[in-house]
Amino acid sequence: MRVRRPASQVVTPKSDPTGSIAISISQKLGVASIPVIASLAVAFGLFDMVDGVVFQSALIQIVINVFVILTVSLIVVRISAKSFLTTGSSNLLLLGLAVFEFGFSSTVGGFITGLNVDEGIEMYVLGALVSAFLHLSSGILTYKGSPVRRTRLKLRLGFSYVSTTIFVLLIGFFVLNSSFLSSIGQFGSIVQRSVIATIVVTLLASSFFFSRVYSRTRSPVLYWYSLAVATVSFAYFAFFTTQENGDLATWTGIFGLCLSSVYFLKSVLSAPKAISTGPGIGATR
Amino acid sequence: MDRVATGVEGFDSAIEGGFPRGDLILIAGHPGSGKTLLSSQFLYNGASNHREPGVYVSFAENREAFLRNMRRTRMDFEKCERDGLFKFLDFVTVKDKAIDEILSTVISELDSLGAKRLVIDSFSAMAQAFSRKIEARIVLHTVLGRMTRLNGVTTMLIAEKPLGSKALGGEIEEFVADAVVVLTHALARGYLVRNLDVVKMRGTRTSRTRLHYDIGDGGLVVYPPLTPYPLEKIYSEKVSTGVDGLDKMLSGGIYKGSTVLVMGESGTGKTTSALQFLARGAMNNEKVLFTSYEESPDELLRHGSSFGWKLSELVEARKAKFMSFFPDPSNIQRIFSEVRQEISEFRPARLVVDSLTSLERMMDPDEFFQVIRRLVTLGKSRGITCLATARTSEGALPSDFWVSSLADVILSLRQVESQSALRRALVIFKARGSPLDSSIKEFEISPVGIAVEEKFTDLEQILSGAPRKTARVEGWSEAFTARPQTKAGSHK
Repeated sequence: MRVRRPASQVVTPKSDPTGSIAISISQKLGVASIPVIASLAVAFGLFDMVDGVVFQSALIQIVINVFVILTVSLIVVRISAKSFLTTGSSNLLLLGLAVFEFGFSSTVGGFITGLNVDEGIEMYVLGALVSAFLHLSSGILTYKGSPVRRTRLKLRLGFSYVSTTIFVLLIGFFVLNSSFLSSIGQFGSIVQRSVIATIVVTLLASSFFFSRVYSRTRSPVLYWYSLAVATVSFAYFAFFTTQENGDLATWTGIFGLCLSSVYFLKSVLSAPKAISTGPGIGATR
Repeated sequence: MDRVATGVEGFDSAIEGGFPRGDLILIAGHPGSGKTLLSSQFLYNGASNHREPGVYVSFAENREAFLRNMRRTRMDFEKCERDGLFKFLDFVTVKDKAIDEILSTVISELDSLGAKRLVIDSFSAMAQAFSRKIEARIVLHTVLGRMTRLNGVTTMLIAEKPLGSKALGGEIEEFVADAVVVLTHALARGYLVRNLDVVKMRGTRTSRTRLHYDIGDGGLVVYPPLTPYPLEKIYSEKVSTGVDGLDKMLSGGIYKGSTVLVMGESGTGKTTSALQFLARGAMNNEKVLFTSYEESPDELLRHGSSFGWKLSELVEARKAKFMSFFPDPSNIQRIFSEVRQEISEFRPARLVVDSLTSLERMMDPDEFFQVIRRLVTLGKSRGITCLATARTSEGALPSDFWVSSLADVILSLRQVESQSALRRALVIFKARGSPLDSSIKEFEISPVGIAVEEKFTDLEQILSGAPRKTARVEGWSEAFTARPQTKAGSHK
């Protein structure tokens, strides 16, 4: 059964006595991080302002991927899955899948990097590409109004996540056993730059759709979420400018991914803790 | 022991088949409690069914009035008279006759008729002829007592018990008599409730609980109490509740012979769940009995047909039976009697009681508890799986419905208000001897009946009656599912 979700309550934004929308200092600082990452990426990648500084560590990348990116993505996945089971809204399913795809492929990519750097990067980029399109789909549905499923929600949820897991593992297998798209893992190659550019644009577009909904609802959840997606986009912009694995542009990108994880977490924490619906009909107690 | 049956339906079985032959029985009671009727039934049963002649000595009403009243209860004493099996001695107008003369007449008539049953109505009126109590005692003890015993004449003495008085008649009869039966009535919730107490009966084991009776077209009908049934067999096989999702929560269903209590507010689907339970049983070729205390059978059949359950066909095929009662304190024992009889004759595998609340309102709490306990043991002893519904207030817990301790499985149905809509929640509080899924699940009353869905993930504290939205999830959902603004709305 496919039905449109009924009108839901819109989270009331915090407002000051004059009626204007109050934006917290942390939100201002958050949005300021975008030009910082962009500037660092341009400075280190395009203009080679600090040339010759290269540091490679597969271990650090694995630690960051598992303990930061994957952990945060699982937190987002959990709340999105619960929300999907509650509302049946497809955009929430896609959103959870996008974050899961990103976190899981980054983790797999981290381990592959330990074996072969280029193949690891190939894995990162392909995972991010799929994640970017899932994010864009979710962003468009969130902006336009998402279809709502009412039946077999658990089945749909389970099927989607199992499929995504298998898909990521298949990409990993493909990356390790085929050289067909190996140029994606080579820094500076046209193919890699094209794919990363697609990722950057797609993520920026999805961030735009989320921010449009934010401008309507003023929900801090959406504020942080659109900022997180935008930060991932600029992190990949930094990878786009990377000349050599381990240079400062690479670490700017990694820093951007870590920062985006913080913003994803902020988005989850911005959701209200509990809203009482009050006593039910005919309550006597 | 040779016993004399009274012919009063339900009473003889409560006194081991009747009064011991030759006993002196005191029937005491309030005005209008049916003393005359009881004693008349005693005589008529003897004459018509056992060809035992009887004599009715009346100090209260004349022959014509007696016969007229008896005709209304379908007792043809005139025919008995013609057959030489009955004699009516009218002492109403014989005021100046000495008591000795009356007794001589009675003894003479007993001899001439060969009577085996005697009624003196009333001994209270007769006793007024005695100047001293000791004389009445002598007459009772020596004349009536010995004479009747020697000749095997079972004698009923009727004593008048004024309303509000604790004494029985002249206060000596009860000591001399072999058996004392007291008929009383009292008002309960605006209804006249008739009670029968066998206070004394030598040589007979009688019911320790009060009997209830009614006066119908055929005379007195006594409703023997439900007795606890011995639990001889414990069933280990499970049967379906009719709701697949619920069976899954109960690890495959409920044990045969167990009792399920479905609690819930009005409109939560209690009757629907009961009908579904019944329909599943009937479809599995089990005999099922639905006893409703709120709705008529036609209403229930219509209710079932709206879900596609062809209950009428099951009724026609004699797989299902619907009984409907509208209980009040005066008919509650008759209802139990009818249900028990139907259980004995129809031998159902499933029984529904819908609802206990209607019964509870019409009974004393202790009496209600005993009746339910006995119904539960009846079900267990015969392998009848029972489902009883009970209407509770919102937020009520099993402990709030105090007979819930008797149930093997307690299921609670709730209404939950969320997002301007009513949702339904289901939780199993108790399932004796069976692992259970204790999560609070949402259920839907679908076009094919009750369907259990997923666990509630968006609400918590549902059982408190004041549910709250689950932490964070709702805020997250709301943020991403806010409805797009319309142009008209955007002006605001």
